Formats: sequence, structure tokens, C-alpha cells
Amino acid sequence: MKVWAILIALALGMAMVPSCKEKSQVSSRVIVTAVGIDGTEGSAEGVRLAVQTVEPLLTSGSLTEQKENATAVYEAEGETVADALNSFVSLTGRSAFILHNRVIAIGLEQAKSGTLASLTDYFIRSREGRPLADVVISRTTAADLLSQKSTAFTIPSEQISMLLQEGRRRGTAVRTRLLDLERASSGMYDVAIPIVEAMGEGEESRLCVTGTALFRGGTYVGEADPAATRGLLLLQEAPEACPYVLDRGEEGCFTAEIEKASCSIRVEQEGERAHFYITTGIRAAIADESRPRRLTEEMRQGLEKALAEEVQADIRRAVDQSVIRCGCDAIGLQRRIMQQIPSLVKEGSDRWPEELRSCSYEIEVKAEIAQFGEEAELSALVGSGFTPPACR
Amino acid sequence: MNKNTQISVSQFVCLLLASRLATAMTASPAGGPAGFGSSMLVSMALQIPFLLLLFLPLWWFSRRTGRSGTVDDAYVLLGKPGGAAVAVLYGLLCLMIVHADLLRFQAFVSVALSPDMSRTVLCAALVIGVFFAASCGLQAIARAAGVAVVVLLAVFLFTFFSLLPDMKGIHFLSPLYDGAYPILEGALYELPRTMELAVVGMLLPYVRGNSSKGYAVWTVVLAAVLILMQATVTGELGDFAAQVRFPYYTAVTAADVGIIQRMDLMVIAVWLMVLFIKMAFYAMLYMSCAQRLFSKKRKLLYAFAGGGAVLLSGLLLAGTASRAAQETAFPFYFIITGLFVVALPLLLTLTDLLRERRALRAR
Repeated sequence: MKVWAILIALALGMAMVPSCKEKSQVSSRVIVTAVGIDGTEGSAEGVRLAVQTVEPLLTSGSLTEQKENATAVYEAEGETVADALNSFVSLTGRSAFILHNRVIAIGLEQAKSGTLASLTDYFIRSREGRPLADVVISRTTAADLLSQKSTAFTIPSEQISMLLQEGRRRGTAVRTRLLDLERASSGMYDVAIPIVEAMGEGEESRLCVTGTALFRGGTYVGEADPAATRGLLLLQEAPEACPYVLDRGEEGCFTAEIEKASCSIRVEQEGERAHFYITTGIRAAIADESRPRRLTEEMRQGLEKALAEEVQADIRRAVDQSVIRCGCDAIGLQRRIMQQIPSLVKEGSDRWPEELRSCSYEIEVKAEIAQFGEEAELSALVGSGFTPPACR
Repeated sequence: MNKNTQISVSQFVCLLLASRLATAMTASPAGGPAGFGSSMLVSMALQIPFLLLLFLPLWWFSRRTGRSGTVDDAYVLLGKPGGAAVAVLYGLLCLMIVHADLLRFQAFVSVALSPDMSRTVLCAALVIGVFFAASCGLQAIARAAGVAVVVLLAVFLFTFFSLLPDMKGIHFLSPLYDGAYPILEGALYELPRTMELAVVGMLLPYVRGNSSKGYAVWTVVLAAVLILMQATVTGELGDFAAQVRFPYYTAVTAADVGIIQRMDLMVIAVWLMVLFIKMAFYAMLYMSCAQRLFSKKRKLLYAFAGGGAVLLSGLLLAGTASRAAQETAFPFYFIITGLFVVALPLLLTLTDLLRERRALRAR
């Protein structure tokens, strides 16, 4: 009896905490599904928000019964994000409920002029902010991105999330979430954010990932091209269906699809600097070939070597563009030194991570291509050391 | 407490575990040791020998007195005034812990949940529930703790494995990255959070079985669970954990397992359950002290007095106390731990020893 009484008291207590105080929350709130952040015209300090919302009363019932205009994009301005959201409340007469926010989009120009910390701090601090919200950079303005209609999803921001999720698997987009920004804010490593662009007009319009914005300490420092983006993803062991088209001349064209990537980074001390050994293992399958036939062992070895060279070039490009050119430690190299040779970082902590630009990097790729239903040993090994131009 | 009321050793372990984990789930790194991360994993393990060492005075006491409680024994050894003083001190300690948990509850609710709800109503409901549960007695609370610990461990494991794919190896540095000092500092910093040590002496007569063995099991299980929680936090948040108020809760908000997109709500529900049990446990100990001091019949009056005092102080001191606590709590709790865990059992044991020698000489 006493245990039952305690359990009832517990159930009551649990029910009281998450309950709604007001009865009219659904109609009095605008459910935010994406927030875009741009700069204001004529003011260097302010922000202009594009708030993609879903009208809950219009989405009731089955999908086929939903109205086309279930989502809307509102705009509001303010000195800060919080201030702009406040003016949004004045504009609509309803509060913004950001618990279901899926995407935070930042205009490229705004990202260049401000810091990530100042632009996303509101979402990090907010009790309603979800750490798994995707963060993207819009090549034009964030408002352009959020205004794109989706023919596949009721909520357009879901299309951006899906684009990034698939992009990560296929080696086209680094997927960065608010949690990654939070982690990076502690100084462990830097952050790289996908750049999404709205292409075409009217019904032909579509969203594409066209690069990766690189940040150093929350400040924009440059951009990585698609090949370097693929390299960054390989270093994160992310690709699961990343295709590489290998032109083998007379043998024809082959598409090798990476199914699994593994990466290990070893650091050795070379005087005052570090030498990084980046070893990547690739397992791929032939997705298609221009002249279907039984592959010979010799052909397969040639393909594996060609694939390893391509992957190695992408990783080299990623290191070159992010670390050496922009000084962005999105790979977490400084952290690896802290793990493996702590004394190197401790002795001159103020020099790092700038010192990463002058370190040397040796990249080794082991590729394995299996024919359908056949397992193969790691057979192709391509390795090369390179020292950044500044150090040669 | 009625001497016939007895709990098993496993219930004793569960009660202490639920109570300690209620604190651990909302432990804040603010004002804590600098080496919050991998070094804390070793600090948690280091708590096992520390907790066992701190139990030695009580173990000696229990061996000499034959499973007698500290309050009961104080009445016998120090006379009525001495015993009453010990009972008052224990009663105040228990009320202070209930009060601290009410503040913890308010802080968590205002930071992590909706701050719009009426704080007064919520706190009043909690305190009424707690003192009602306390009046149900030790057995009922211990049984509820058994259920809670099973649920709690299941949630911890589920959370850990659901966050595992998103955890990063580079978040873990060598525990000795900043030397051995942060490890020791972390272990010492965690010790005063284990206020259960202070009241174990009161529970001894009510445990059926070998309570010393139960205590040893508790220290090992506690360290294992704390290491699991710390690994979850460090793997998921890395150094960012030192910047947030409730690291474990923040780490859990990042979990996304299939249709369960809000693991944090599950963790909040479980935390409320163990917090309630912890508060009821200490409220029950306070009421037993009051019964020992005065009459055993006025249980309701003691509940009203204690509950009223806790609620009033909790509501009045909510903001100021939690701010001040960051600077003063550590030394304060350290002194209390020293007083109730080391000084009191040693005083009682030595008094008993002296009395025995005097009696021998008199013969």
C-alpha cells in the first residue's frame, strides 16, 4: 500500500513538471522549423531573421488533406538574434516555439562578418534549442534558402536535413549540428559547415551542397571545395556510399563506391614540430562499369591503386585547404598531439594551432575493391609524404 | 524508527545508491576542479579507497557496539544531554540535505525546464509528497529505491549505448595530462557530495545482514556508475562539459534513438524519481531523530514542522543560497563529512572504550 502511494505521488510529480500551464499553446505559438540569419541592410550590427514556421492547425489530419501553405517564412529584424525573435513576436502576435527547429541557416556574408558564437549563442543557451539542429551556410542569403519550397517534404527544412544526411553518406556534405558548434566553442577543435545553395528558379529550383565553410575559433577563414569536403569526410570515417569514377583508359570507366572508411592519425615529434601519419583504409565495391565483364586480378589491382590515389588526393586536398591554407583544425589535429605527445603542446600552448600549418603530413591509403559477393585482401597501398609549401 | 523495521543489505545498497545518484545526475562543474574530463574518470575510481577509508571509524564503532546506531549509542554513552545534542545535529543535517535538494530541484527546473510554472506550487507539492513518503517508513522507501535503481541503471546504460556512435575518441585525453593533482582534487571534490556517509551510522541497526559488506559493494557499484556517467559526458561533450551547468543532462539531450527523440525527458523522469526517494529518505531520518528527541506519537507535527521549515527556507533562499553555495558548499560539506563520518563515530567508540577500561579498573 505504501509503495503504491509513493508510486502515485511520483507519477503525479512527473506529470506536473512537463505539463502546459496555458491551454492555448498550439494556436498561440508559431512552431519554428528553421531559422535563417542574415545581416540587415545599412547596418553593420543588426541581424535579419527568416523564420520558417509550420501552422499546426493546417497540418492536422492526413498528409493528403493538408493545405499547401502549411508552412510560411516570416522576417524580423533586431540588434541580436534574441532581439529579432522578440520583434517577430510583435509582428505575428504569437510566440516562437523553437523546440522543433531542424535547421539554422546563416548567410555567407553574415558568417564572414560575424562570429559563430555571436550568431548561434541564442540557440545554445535556449532551453528549447535542440543540439541536433543542422547548421548550414547559405551561399546567397539564409532567407533565400528557407524560402525554397519542397515537393517531397511537408516541412521544407526536412529536405535540408535529408540533403545533409545523404550528403554525409555520399561524400558531398559535412553534416554539422549545433552540438558540434557547442563542442568547438570549448576550443577542442574547429568547425566546418556545409554551404548550401539554391539553384534554378521557380519549379526548377533545387538545393545543392557546393562546398564547405571553414572556421577558426568561430571566425570564417575560407572555403573547401567538393574534393576537400570529401577528404574531410573520409577523415571523419563518414562515407558509406561515396562514388569514385575511375577512368581506366582502354579498360573503360568504373565506378567504385566506398562502403566503409577507417582512419587513424599518428603523431611523431620532429624537433619543435609534429609529423602526422594519416592512414586511411577504404573498402569499396564496383557500382558499375562501362564494359561489364569478369574482372581479372590484374585489373582489380589497378583499380584499387587508382582508387587509393584518388582518395589520397582528396585527403591531401582537405589537409591543404583546411589546415595549411586556412588554419582551420576541423580534423582535430591539435587534440591528437595533446593525446599522443602532450609535452609538445604544453611547452608552447600559445603557438598552437597556428603551428599546424608548418607541420608535415604523410598520407597513406589502403584500398580494397571487392567484386560482388567476393571478399578481397587489402592489396593496394599508396603512400606519400608531403610537406606544405611554406616549409619546403 | 521502529527497531523491528528492517531492510535487507541489497535494499540498503539501493537506498544509498539512489540517494547518491540523485546528486550525481545534476552535479555541476561550476567551482569544481579544473581537470573536469578524463582525469575525473580516475577520480571516480579513486573514490572507492577513499570511501572505504572513511568507513573505518564507523566499522570500528559497529564492531564494538554490536550493530547499535550512532544516535541510540550517543544516548547511552554521552547521557541524555549528549544524546539529544547528537540527535539534534543529525536532525538538522537531514533537514539541511532535504533543503539542499529542494534548491537543486528548483535550480534544475528553472534552468532546464519551463520557468513559467509556479515555483511555490511545485515545491509545495514536492515537499508534501516527500514528507508523506517519509511517514511511510524506511521499508517502503527502501523498496521504492530498489525499483528506482533498476530503472536508473537501465536508463544510464541505454543512454550510454545510444550516444556511443556520436562520442568522439579525441575528447579523451590522458588522465595525467595535467599531472596527478587534478585526479586527487577531483576525488576529494566528489567526496562531500556523498553525504550518505554521514547517515550510515544511523541506519546500522536497521540493516538485516552484513552492512559492512553492503557498504563495500555500494562503493564499487557507485564508482562504476559514476565512471559510466562521466564517460558519457566526456565522450559526448568533451571539454565543453566544463562550460555547462548540468553536463549529464546536456549530454543526454543530444541522444536521438529512432522514435525516441527526447531521451532527456526520460532522464528527467528518472531523476525526479530518485530525487524524491532521496528527499523522503532524509526526511524519514529527520523524523526519527525528532521522535527520539521528543515523543514518538507526534509524527504528523514533526512532518509539518520539518516540511514547513524546508519549504520556507527553500523558497526564500532559492536564488541567493544557490549562488553562495558555489563558493562555500565544498568546505562546509567537507567539515560536515569529517564531523559525522570520522569525529562522531570515533568519539563514541573511544568513550565506549574508556568506559570499559574504567569498569575493568573498578573491578
